[in-house]
Amino acid sequence: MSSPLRTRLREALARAPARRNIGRAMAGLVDKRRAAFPDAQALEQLRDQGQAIRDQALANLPALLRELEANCRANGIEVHWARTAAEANEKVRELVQAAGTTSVLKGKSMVSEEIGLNAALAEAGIEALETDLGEWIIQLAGEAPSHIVAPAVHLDRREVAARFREHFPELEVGEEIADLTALARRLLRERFAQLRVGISGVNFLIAETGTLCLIENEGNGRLCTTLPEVHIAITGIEKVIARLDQLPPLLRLLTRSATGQPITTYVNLISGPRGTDERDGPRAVHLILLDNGRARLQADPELRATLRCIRCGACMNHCPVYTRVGGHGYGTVYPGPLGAVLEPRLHGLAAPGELAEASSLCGACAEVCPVRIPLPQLIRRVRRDRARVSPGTTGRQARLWSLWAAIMAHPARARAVTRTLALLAPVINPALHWLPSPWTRHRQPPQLARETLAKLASEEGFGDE
Amino acid sequence: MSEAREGILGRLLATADASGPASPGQAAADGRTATHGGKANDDSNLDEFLKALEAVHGEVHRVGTDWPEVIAEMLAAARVDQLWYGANSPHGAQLQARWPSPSAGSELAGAVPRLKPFDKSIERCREALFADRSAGFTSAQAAIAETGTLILWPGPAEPRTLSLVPEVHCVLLEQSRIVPTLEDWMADYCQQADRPPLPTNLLLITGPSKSADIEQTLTFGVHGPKRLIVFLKNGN
Ligand code: SF4
Repeated sequence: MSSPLRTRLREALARAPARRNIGRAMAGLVDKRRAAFPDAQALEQLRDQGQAIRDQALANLPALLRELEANCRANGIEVHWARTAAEANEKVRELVQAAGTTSVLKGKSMVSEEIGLNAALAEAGIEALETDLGEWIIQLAGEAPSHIVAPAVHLDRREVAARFREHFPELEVGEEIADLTALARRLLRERFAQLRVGISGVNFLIAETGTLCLIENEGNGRLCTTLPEVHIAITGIEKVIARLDQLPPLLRLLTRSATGQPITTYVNLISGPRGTDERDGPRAVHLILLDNGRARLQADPELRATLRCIRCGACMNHCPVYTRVGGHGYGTVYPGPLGAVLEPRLHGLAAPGELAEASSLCGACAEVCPVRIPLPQLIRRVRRDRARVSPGTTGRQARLWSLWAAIMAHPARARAVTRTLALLAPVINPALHWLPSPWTRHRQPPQLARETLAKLASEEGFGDE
Repeated sequence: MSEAREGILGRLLATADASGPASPGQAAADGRTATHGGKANDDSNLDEFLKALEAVHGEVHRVGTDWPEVIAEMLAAARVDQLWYGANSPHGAQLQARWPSPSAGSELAGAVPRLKPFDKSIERCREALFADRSAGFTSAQAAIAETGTLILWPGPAEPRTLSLVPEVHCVLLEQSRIVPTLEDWMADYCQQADRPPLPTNLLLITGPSKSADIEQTLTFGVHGPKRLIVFLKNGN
């Protein structure tokens, strides 16, 4: 009964401070998103538009990727392709070593988490320094992000201060948020001034102009892509859109859905390395296009919708499961409803497929998704696929359901069984409390009625039909 | 070409036909929204811009032709001791010409920041640029009323780090360059018959650097500038 997921969920539920921090933050984000879209009708139009732009891009994916590649090359951006996480990591390692350095700056990138880039670089003796405040905090703490937009959302200021103190025993660390931020600024600026390679993700790729669009608030992303001599951007092949003028509505949807912001502090549009008479900017820009299971998603007409995702995190912020267990409860790179659909496709149905069980199918995620990904429908799809391929718990469920079907298919049989159960209710009901099941551990067990529904119905004058 | 490239494209192409032409209507995929963009450019733009900029902790000063003096005074009061700028930028010459000389008799004279032209490659001035108490000056190509956003078009004359590394970022903006929404600006740019190519690093900047990574509490000046000061110029 106790799979790794269940164990993790139990542990997550037992971490009261993290649950409190996450719960509070998610409630805040839900309110901010709502306030950012005051006009419901305008929001629906905008979502239609966002979906259409992303669908159009996905429908023409190979052509757009070729166009992007040609325009990037014309702009002086080198384009590389990686089928798997290993290929991508290998490429980054090669580029870093070619630059002759062993320390690199990193801007926030979920794709780098997806491929385990930091660990792969560490193996090659390369230190990857996270520079986003939240990412830096969890890197110091040796943890993984617990949210795709707000990676350190599970920690409060006291816990952050404690981690800083542990890491920098020689420094004086206050507990005010302003002090903690100032400390990060001071320590990281030294590194920004020194390091020669910066690695980042990408929010959108614009095929028409060969442009990389990155958004952020802190400025660390710009520092990583502007100051070093070499900038390496890594992202999934699905991030491409056709035209520049399609960017504004997507930005509008992304930032407002994510944090309620009308726009981020910085929108950074990179269309090439430093020009011949320019004074600054990287001398080389590399773009690594990662597949890692995305072409497989693209091939499935139903699951393709997943690739519309613009990684806003709204589905998590509104998920009753995520808001209670947080990202670490899922134990995957992408948590929440998005993770439940995406992870099994990236990493196979076996373990991540179980994430689909950690959903109440309430539908909140689909209601807020800015590009209308039908997440609950896709979660059901994962459940179906899993039931087909893996026995075990689902096999036992299948047997129970076929027993149920065998009974219900014959009216006489059904009547006999329900009547017997109703008669035995006084004996069975108290016993249900002692059933060793996770269901009864946390909830009132369901109780058998003393009368069958059929009998009650006929008393009310309903016939057998 | 590379094996990975052929592998990925081959896979995508193999399924492209099988799943049918999912191409949605062109109109729906258009950038301009029915609800945003296409508004007239008028005085309400300015009010909206000022409100939005204030909301993101940007500062605004209305200036006339004396704008270099105003900047000098403000920075002197803020104890900034050097102002970096692009010597060949559209406003560089004027900035230099009207910059109060440190020897002049005014009270602030002693405190007037030094002007530092960004005329070498970053490799040769990196440390100086990172020095404390420095500011950077740039112009804005346009601005967005709805969000209080400045659009910067860096290039050889105006390096991109001017708006990133120094602690204070000063921006000169012509009031007539404010447009209602990003959709408007983008549509204008994209529809130009002979549109100039994008710069290597087009920037949209909305307020000073900030973060809410700790307890969702906003703090400013995380890694980029701590202050963003817009000098708003009306006419010439
Ligand atoms: S699935 Fe939708 S709501 Fe969730 S992160 Fe992606 S775009 Fe946002």
